Amino acid sequence: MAISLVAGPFQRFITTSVGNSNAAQMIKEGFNISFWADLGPGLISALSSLASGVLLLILTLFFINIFLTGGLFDSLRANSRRYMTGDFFKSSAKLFFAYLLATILVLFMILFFGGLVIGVPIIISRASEGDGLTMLLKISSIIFILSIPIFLLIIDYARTWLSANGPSKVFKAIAYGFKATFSGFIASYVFMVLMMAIQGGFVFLASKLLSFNPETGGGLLVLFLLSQVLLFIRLFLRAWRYGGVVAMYFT
Amino acid sequence: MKKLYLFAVLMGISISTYGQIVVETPLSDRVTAYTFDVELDPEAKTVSGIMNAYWVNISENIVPDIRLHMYPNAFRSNKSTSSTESGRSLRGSHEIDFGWVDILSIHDGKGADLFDSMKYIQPDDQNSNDMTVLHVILNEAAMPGDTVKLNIEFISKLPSRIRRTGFADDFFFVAQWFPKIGVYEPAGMRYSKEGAWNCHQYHSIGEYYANHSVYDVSIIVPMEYVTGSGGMLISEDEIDNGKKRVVYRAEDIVDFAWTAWPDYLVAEDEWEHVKIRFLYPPGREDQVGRQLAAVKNALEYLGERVGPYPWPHLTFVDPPKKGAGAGGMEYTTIFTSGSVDKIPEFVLMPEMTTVHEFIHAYFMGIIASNEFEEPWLDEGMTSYWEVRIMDHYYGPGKGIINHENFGISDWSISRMVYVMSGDKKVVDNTPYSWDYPEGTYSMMSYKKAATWLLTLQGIIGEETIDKVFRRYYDEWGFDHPTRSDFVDITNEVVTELHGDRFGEDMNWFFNQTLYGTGICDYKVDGISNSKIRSFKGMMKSDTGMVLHADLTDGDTIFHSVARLQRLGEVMLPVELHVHFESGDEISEQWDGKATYKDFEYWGSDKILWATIDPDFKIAMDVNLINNSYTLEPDNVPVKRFMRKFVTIMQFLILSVTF
Repeated sequence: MAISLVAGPFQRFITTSVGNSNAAQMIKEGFNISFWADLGPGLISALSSLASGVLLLILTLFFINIFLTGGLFDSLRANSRRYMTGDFFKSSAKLFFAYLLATILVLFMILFFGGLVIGVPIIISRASEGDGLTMLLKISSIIFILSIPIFLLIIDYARTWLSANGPSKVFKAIAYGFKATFSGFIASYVFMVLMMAIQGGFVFLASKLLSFNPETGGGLLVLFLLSQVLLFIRLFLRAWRYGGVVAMYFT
Repeated sequence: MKKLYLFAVLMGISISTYGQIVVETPLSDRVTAYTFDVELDPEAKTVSGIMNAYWVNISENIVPDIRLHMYPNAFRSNKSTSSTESGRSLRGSHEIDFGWVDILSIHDGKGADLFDSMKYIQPDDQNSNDMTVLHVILNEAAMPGDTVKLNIEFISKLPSRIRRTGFADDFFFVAQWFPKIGVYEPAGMRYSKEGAWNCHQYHSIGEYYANHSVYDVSIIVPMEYVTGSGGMLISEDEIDNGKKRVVYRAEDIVDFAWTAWPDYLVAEDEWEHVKIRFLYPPGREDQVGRQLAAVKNALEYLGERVGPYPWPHLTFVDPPKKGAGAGGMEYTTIFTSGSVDKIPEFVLMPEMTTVHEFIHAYFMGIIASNEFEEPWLDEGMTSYWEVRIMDHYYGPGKGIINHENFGISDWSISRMVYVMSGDKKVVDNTPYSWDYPEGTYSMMSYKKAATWLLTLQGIIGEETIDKVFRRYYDEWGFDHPTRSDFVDITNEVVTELHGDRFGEDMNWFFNQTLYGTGICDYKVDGISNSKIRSFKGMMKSDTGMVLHADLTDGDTIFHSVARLQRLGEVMLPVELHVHFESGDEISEQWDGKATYKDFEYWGSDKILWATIDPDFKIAMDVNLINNSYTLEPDNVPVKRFMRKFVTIMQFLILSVTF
């Protein structure tokens, strides 16, 4: 819904520019650079607004996600007792800053690690030629991708710990995240990889959905509904991931 | 003793310039010829040795002097014309970053020392710091028909941070590297009213101009170096001290460039009579087939439509990453492509560069226009043929990006650069390359020219324009045409094939495009369908016939109008496609001259939509969106695009929030 608010003005810009022209047919078969070029100088402003809007939206949703995650983890942790809507938002508010800090810390860890394993070979490759570095880059990328479940486990364990022990000790929570991840590494890692693989499957389905080109308004509605179903399944899978980590935390 | 040996060798080579080794008969007048005996010093980054050259005075004038291009001096300091024009600081703090050429001795054919009669001149801008044109007063003025021989000992220091020529570590691309004789233009040649040297300084923007020449080049390089050049390899022999001597010969080309790098890999192929040699860096083995296919496509396409590629050899180079500055440049029988490691197969940039640079073998190589003064004659024509070749071989709409779900045509890119430029009305296509207003050279010389050539093709037809280029090749191959020569040939061919269908000649087209600054923009302003309730009198039917009409209230007759508007200054004939509610369609022609035109119809049918130029023949129409008007706009494609965009963004945002 929120993304539609940002995309709406851009869509209106296009439809207004096209007006009563048949030009929309130029993009019927897919991307047509002539169509975009001929939208004129206004396209640059429209794209700029769209980019700013998307950036702002990502930031907003990032914060909202952190806020809601607090309530979600707390509700999952407290599944044996009665949990009210009020409790959910109370936990969200209580845990917000702790979760924000933990998320930012783990985000930096991911970026630092990524820079180390991918960035360094890129710097080296600027001075050299040949296949060896391409192979090195491939290996680095694989290592980085395989490390993502570990970082997700760390943040999820840390968030569970914060939910159980209060929001005041973020660094301790991160330390616990590391400890919990590596103490039962195989089970945790396999679980997280499985979660990511299922998520990946739905991303693949979404990509296939995008190659569907409906010709009518009804077809467009079907496309929209299917994409939203996939989105909700992904949200559900994320909640499942959180629940799985919470369960592992208590076992 | 060493000098005596050298003299004997050079005299021997010199004599051979009159013979035929590469092609069966001379392709050009061979007003100039060169022999070189040089050595590459990989440590000092220099090429030094002896050059013997001759120039024949084909004019009826007595010529007292000779002018030489000293191109490497463009990199001699940050005050050269090239540097100041580009704003480059040549900020090298080390001497090794600069480049230059020095003449150590110069003698004429009779042994007279000309060293003291040399003087650097600056015919273009009087910048006394520029040393790229050398004026030499001859000991004896050249009489009509005389051959002036020069024996020059020189040293060229190659610049670092390769800008077409130079070095990067042990990679060398050696271009514009020797004292090169300018073009003496007798009265009547091109724009020359009286005989004069045409020898421009080296500018940051633009390229070159030279006579077709014979080159015999002997180069000494370290044994481990792999070399390539615009010549045919005659011999490669090991000499002492871990070095080898490679000897190349090239005939009837306008420039001789060569390259040396120990790490080159070599692929060889053949296309009809042409032996193709491709030098490429390790890591790009997967692109060899793509590059060779691209060059063979271009050979085939131009061979069929413009004229045969006359030489039996062709070398092209994909420079390594460190030598990328040498990429995308042409020297007729050797050119440089440009690529990166692991570029996906659907991205056709390497093929596009290869095709483009190869086409230059025709447009400035065979048809040796003056690139300094009329850059569109080479870049515009080359870009035009590049669009045709890429979109022909890689699929319509797929000439640049050829992905199964996504394509971009070369036609679109070429046109887009022109259409989106805010400077398209600033200047026409006639300035010298360095006189184009800041930032407009590429857009004007490459893209505007290509776009109006595509438009010319749309108007006169592909077959006709092919015949224009075929005749341009036949008449001006191995000569130096001007834009007027191309215009004249177009007029001739169009008149021969179409009579006065397009008017007395095609000057009306060139005056608006080549010589004009206006833009072309046609629009369908609107459609109306008015129901006529009662009418008595004369009216036109759907087919334009005048009829007597006597309508009563029960009849349903519409007066339908499609109004066309000319928004730009350029007036071109356009086609209108009118679609009626019943499914009937009519094609109309409009000369496009008036500011508006109503196409009117009376009948029982209503116009549903109308489109100007439905086949996109008028590539230079700057707005294709307003080329049509419909009463039933279909926004589904736009909505679908946005739905997909929203879905992608939703998934992306979900991924970045963990």
